[in-house]
Amino acid sequence: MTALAPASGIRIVHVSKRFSRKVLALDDVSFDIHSGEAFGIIGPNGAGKTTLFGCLLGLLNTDAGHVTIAGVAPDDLRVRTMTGYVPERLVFDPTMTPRQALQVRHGLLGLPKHTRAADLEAMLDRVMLAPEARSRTLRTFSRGMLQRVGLAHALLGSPRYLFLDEPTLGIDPVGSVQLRELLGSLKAAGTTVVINSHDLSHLERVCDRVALISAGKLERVEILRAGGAARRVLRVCWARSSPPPSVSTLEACAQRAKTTVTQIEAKHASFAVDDEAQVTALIRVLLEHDVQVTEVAPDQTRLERFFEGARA
Amino acid sequence: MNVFFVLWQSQVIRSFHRLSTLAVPLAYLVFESVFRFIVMGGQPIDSATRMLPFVVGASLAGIGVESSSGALPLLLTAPIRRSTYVLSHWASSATVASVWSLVQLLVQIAILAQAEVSVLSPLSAAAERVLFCFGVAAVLTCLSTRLPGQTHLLAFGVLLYVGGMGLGSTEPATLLRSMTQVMNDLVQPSVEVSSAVHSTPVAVAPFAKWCTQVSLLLLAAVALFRNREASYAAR
Repeated sequence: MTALAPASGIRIVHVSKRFSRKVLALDDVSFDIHSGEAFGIIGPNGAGKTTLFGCLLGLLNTDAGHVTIAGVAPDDLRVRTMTGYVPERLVFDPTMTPRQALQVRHGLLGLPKHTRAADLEAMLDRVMLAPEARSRTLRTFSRGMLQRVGLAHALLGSPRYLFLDEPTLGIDPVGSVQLRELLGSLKAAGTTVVINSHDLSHLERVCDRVALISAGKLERVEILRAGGAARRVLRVCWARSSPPPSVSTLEACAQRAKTTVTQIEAKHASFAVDDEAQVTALIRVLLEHDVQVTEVAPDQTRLERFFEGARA
Repeated sequence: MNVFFVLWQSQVIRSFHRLSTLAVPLAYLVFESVFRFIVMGGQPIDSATRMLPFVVGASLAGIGVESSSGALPLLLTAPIRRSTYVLSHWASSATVASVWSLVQLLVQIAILAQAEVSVLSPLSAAAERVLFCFGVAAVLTCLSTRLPGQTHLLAFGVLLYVGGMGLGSTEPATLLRSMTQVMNDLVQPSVEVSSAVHSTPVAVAPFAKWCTQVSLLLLAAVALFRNREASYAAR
């Protein structure tokens, strides 16, 4: 078997997919996903996201165009050995334990048998599945626990390409934070992560770029993070009893804290910040200018605005 | 080969752990052993065709069921060839059915030996059962590659009924009767091992016919499954 290029991304070239004469699920979609980046796919229900995911994984045949992963077809066995997938509907045999489910995957990947037990435990540790749950059958698992097993299943064999379909569905806030940290470490290790999700705030924190799919067409690809930095927007509210600060005061505060004012209203203003140091500086400067700050909270996310703007 | 073995092993183990694939063969085994032999008295060893419930029971979790339940996308994104997946399904359901039918044969032999009835050629009977199980499992696997859920069993029932229509008729051979008999042979590939082995010279034709039939069925199954779309979006 010929080895694949060490750092190759995913190419989607003029892909169209029709399910019946009337349903055109994908219409001439083209974009690239770079190696090592986290890429999100967003769009309204029925936009064609799941169809696109099916084409990316080689589970659906395209009617026109093609998809390549590391330069070859997605159903090539060489790609399959480097692909991890967590589907939206995780279906494992309910009579199996997490260890048994992972054991089958370990065998299918052709990983050495003598390291199996250690590999499985390490993977279950990595997704933070409680040790007492590891011997229970999967029928007793909650959606969030199943999601962890699914993630461990996908991460076995250290895949270079990880496909996650609605990964935050049904998981608790702690699980969501852990997932974000895990994806961060995978990205740092050079794994290409493709996420199909409706959870825009999660995507914004994880992804470098997102593609908006609507009615089977690629509307736009938005860059969220360049060189590892992402801007957040904070909403600062002040006391209703106090007089509102002037525009010039707010702009001066923003300049001193090296942030940018994005919006000024009667009771609040929004500031774009790069990191936590800027947040601290902004609050300090505002207080120094006698602004009676009562609340600092994340504003509507950038991705939400992008999504709403694109839809409008 | 390793991938085939891993899939085969996991499917066989699951078949004995799942109530749906365990209940039907177990109930039939108990019925056959207790009712027909103990209540009704000693009888000759069953013909291989009576092993049909074991094959049907083992095939309750076919490819169509895995597809309808949504397990297929996860399985097919693993580094396995689609042909390996289909063949492992056939081999595992046939193995499970063979195990059940051999257990039933052992129970029968034990009962018959206790009743001091002569036990005739148990090896031939065992071989017949195994060949029957692998043959019918090939038909069911072929049907389940395209049919959703457990409808492959329904389709098999229809084919079996159509095939059985021409049997037992005393009228002279007609085209319809010949066709239904061909259909019956097709849906129940089997070999009468004892008569084939005891004939002089040993009759090879029945074995060759069985091998051809099963090979064609499996080739058809692989071809039908090769381009099957397995995403939720395709449903």
